[in-house]
Amino acid sequence: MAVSGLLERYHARHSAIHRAAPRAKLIAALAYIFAITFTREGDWTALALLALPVVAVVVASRLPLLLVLRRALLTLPFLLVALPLLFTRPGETIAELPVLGWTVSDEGAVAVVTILAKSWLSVIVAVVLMATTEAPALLRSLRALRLPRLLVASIEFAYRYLFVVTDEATRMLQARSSRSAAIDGRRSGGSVRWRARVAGNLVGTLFVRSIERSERVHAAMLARGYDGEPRQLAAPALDRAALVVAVLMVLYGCAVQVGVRL
Amino acid sequence: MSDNGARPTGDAAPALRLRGLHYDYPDGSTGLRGVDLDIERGELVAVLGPNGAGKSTLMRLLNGLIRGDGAIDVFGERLTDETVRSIRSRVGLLFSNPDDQLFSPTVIDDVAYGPLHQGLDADEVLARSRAALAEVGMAAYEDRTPHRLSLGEKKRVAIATVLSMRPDILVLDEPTSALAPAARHELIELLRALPQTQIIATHDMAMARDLASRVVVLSDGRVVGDGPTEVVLGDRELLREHDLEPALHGQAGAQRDSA
Amino acid sequence: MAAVDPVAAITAAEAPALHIPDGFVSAPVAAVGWVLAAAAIALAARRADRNLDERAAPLMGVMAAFIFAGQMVNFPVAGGTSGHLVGGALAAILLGPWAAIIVMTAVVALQALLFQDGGLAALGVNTLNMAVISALVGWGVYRGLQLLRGVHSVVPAVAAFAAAWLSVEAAAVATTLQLAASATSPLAVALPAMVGVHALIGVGEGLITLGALGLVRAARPDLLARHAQAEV
Ligand SMILES: Nc1ncnc2c1ncn2[C@@H]1O[C@H](COP(=O)(O)OP(=O)(O)OP(=O)(O)O)[C@@H](O)[C@H]1O
Ligand SMILES: [Mg+2]
Repeated sequence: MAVSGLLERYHARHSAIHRAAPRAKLIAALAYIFAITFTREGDWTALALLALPVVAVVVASRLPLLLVLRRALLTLPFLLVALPLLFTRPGETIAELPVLGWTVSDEGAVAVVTILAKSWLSVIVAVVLMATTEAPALLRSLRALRLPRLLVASIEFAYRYLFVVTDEATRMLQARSSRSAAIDGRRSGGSVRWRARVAGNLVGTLFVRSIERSERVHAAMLARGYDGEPRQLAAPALDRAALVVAVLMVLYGCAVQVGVRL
Repeated sequence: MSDNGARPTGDAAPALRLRGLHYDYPDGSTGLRGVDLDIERGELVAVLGPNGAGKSTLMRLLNGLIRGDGAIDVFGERLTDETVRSIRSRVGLLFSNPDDQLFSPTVIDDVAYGPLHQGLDADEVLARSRAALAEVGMAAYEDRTPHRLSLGEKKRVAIATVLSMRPDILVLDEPTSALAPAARHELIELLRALPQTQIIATHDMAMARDLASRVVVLSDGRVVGDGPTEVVLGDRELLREHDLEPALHGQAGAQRDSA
Repeated sequence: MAAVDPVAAITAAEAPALHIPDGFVSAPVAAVGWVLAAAAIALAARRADRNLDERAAPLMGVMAAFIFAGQMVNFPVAGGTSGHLVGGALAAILLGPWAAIIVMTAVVALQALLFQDGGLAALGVNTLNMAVISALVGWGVYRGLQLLRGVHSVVPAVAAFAAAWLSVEAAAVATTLQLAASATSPLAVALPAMVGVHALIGVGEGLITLGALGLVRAARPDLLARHAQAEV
């Protein structure tokens, strides 16, 4: 559990990566992950070449290596959806499942390992991005991208109230468990349907409270001059150095993908 | 718009003049039933009253967030649909719950919100916001997320979000509620140092005694007591009648004396 | 630092299995996902803005926080498994389809950005599945069933359950098709598996959605009317 959740505690560390403009980091990370996506099955050269700058960035960021590697394992369960490839891809048989008698093909294994490697490399990039960038700064950088204003504003409000509403939900869940403690070990805690309704009512209560909160927030905005036109501080300027590094990384990613195909 | 301290209309006009204020909520419950009040410039008025007396309703009316019957004049200017936006930048409202008031991802975004909507340019907005944060002693918290602040810090940032608009009148709804003694004390000292006309709705009798020059008692939507702090808080009969008495001998008083 | 971070507790344990990480969708699929999601969001932003005027931004934002928190509310089913909410249909029924798309997009984007729950290149397809498709299917089924039968006391419940169940199924089917198109999982195996698993998950979604709507109907019926009527 310790590896999930926010990466806030690593923001205090200082490195060039931490200091780089969030906008440059966000765009670079997105583009680089896209470059990784283009990797063909079994193209180990491309994967190795793409991994090099990632390793360099992880080292430069001075993040604990173990954290980055462990955190990146979070996507592992999703590999389940790719595992059938082991058995369904035509190719040379390299193994056979004992009881079921299914055969694992070499092509299938190559496909699955490629997916795993691409996914792992990508999520490391994302982890470094978040562990070196404070969430509000990252979200503020969205203001400078050409996204619908309503969406950007919604994301920022959502970030602000995420914790407030989550705390509220946690308190309600605790209240629920403290009341259901006595009957838990007994014959039943009610039918599944009943339990589902309790959970649903909890969600409904949360909704009503949230609507009322949004009305109070709206009032607070009006009190400070809101007239329907959202105005915000500008996103911080892009610093030249970060931009150059970001562009270089993206160009490198593209060059690798083109190069291995020549 | 107003500048700090510049008061355009009618030199003799009081900061606030309320006549026949009446407000019914859409669900039929009555918030205020006829309030007349004059508040002079520079006055620091505590509004006391039991739960449901109408204090918060009055606060919201003063800022034009809700509109009822009767008249509200701010420095001689009538609050109407046309003037409501300019009056909002002269009458700063502090909400009782800072989690409602602080709605931006970072402290500086929040403090800058008012000035940005007053149409000031970016440099001026930042300058005013930083000055306001310094005024409440929160200059070092610019880039923090409101969620991670203590309640006392949240309240002070919330005050900064109002101060950055350079209002002439501060309307504060329960500024000290739920604060621990030390944070409460700091907040009271902060309010004491602010030059604006202040109207403070509160259950904190000790604060009223300590800070206010005048006390207004609201009960069931009406003004039932109004006068110098000593006189009103000395009227045991009045206080008992409106359920304000026990607090006089309660914790708050003792706390205040030892603080 | 040692304190339990409630947000941390949510993501790892309760994340619905529909968030595709990076590496699982091919570049063309990811790109098409981005284009379609962007088009839907642009349209939804315009519609939601028009229907909700200046209340839109704070409402959408707090609602996204609500859905996020609502996803952590689960209930034990049997054998250690639990039912929980994705929320697309609930958001659509409560707020209308356009607002729901914005709200769910904010949720999915925050999950990807802050928690690496779902990939960045894959954010397009994830948004398409969990924000656009689930909201539109949820809304379409709910309204469709209501129109079909007129106003009758039983129908709203059936419609809401069906909307929630189908919204989850639709998102799961879309996810499977994208994975198959990316040559990441064989359709013949994955489709029955995903449809089967989400048929169960959808029951949890349906029951929670019903319970939530029941409470809102009892506590604040005006909210149901207010946000549902303004649309279409
Ligand atoms: N949003 C609302 N809808 C309906 N009635 C309301 C609403 N807010 C307040 N009221 C009613 O208006 C009356 C005055 O409420 P108000 O909140 O102004 O009291 P208050 O003096 O601030 O109380 P407290 O000390 O508890 O904060 C009460 O009867 C209350 O029930
Ligand atoms: Mg009140």
